Amino acid sequence: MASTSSVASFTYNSVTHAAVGSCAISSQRPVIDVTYIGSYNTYSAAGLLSTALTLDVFIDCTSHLTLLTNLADAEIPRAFTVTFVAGDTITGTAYVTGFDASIVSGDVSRASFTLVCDGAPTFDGNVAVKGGSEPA
Amino acid sequence: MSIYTAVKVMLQTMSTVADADITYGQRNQTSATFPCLTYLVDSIEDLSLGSTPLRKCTLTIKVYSLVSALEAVTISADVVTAVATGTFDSIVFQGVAQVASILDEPTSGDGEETNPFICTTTAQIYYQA
Repeated sequence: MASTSSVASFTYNSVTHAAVGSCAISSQRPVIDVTYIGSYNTYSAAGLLSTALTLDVFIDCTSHLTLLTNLADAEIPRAFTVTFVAGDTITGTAYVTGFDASIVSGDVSRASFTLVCDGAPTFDGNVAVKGGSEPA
Repeated sequence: MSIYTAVKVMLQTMSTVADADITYGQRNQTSATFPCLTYLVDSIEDLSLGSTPLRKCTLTIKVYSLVSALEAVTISADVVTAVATGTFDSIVFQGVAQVASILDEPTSGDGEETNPFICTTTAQIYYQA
């Protein structure tokens, strides 16, 4: 099923952000090479999952205050939700780790935020992520 | 409430062109007086997520003068001033970008008569609707 951007949204720290031009989320689990010496084949183990988000917005410091605030305090990861369509979401907690803004002559101002996930994200509320409940 | 009427309402803030002489796309050749103005929404695109996304429309606004090229340019300067942020027909114009005017090349009719002088302004409007 194809869903359109008109039903998508990005929420951070309970605020659904306006003027989000694009929201990209990337989860990567790099493979660890555990091939033993003398092997004729490679062997691998699943590595650690890391997740990062990139937001491109039409910046408005009032509308995007929660993101800027988190970048400034940098201590508390906040809950985020990427909604593709109602019921299809990716949730988790993340820090804001990067912010780039620009204004070009004769154009409107734009900015991008980079967020890094703290712990495991939850895919669609149904997919169990290994390590979602870390050992104490 | 539509972007087309919102642009018309925005242009009606001008005092140099009568409301009846501001028309969409084509001059009203039977009743319009000069100077007159036409506007065209060339494109509309969604820029953000959500059910009421930020949108961008590209406008082309032509000012027609029978008197002189200078009059067309002068009124186009008023157009540039009129194209601004604000609320028009309940639509909020959040940003205006790339507003520029250029005087079109003068043309003559088949009988060598002078056609109206035309100055074309283009602009991009960012709005939420």
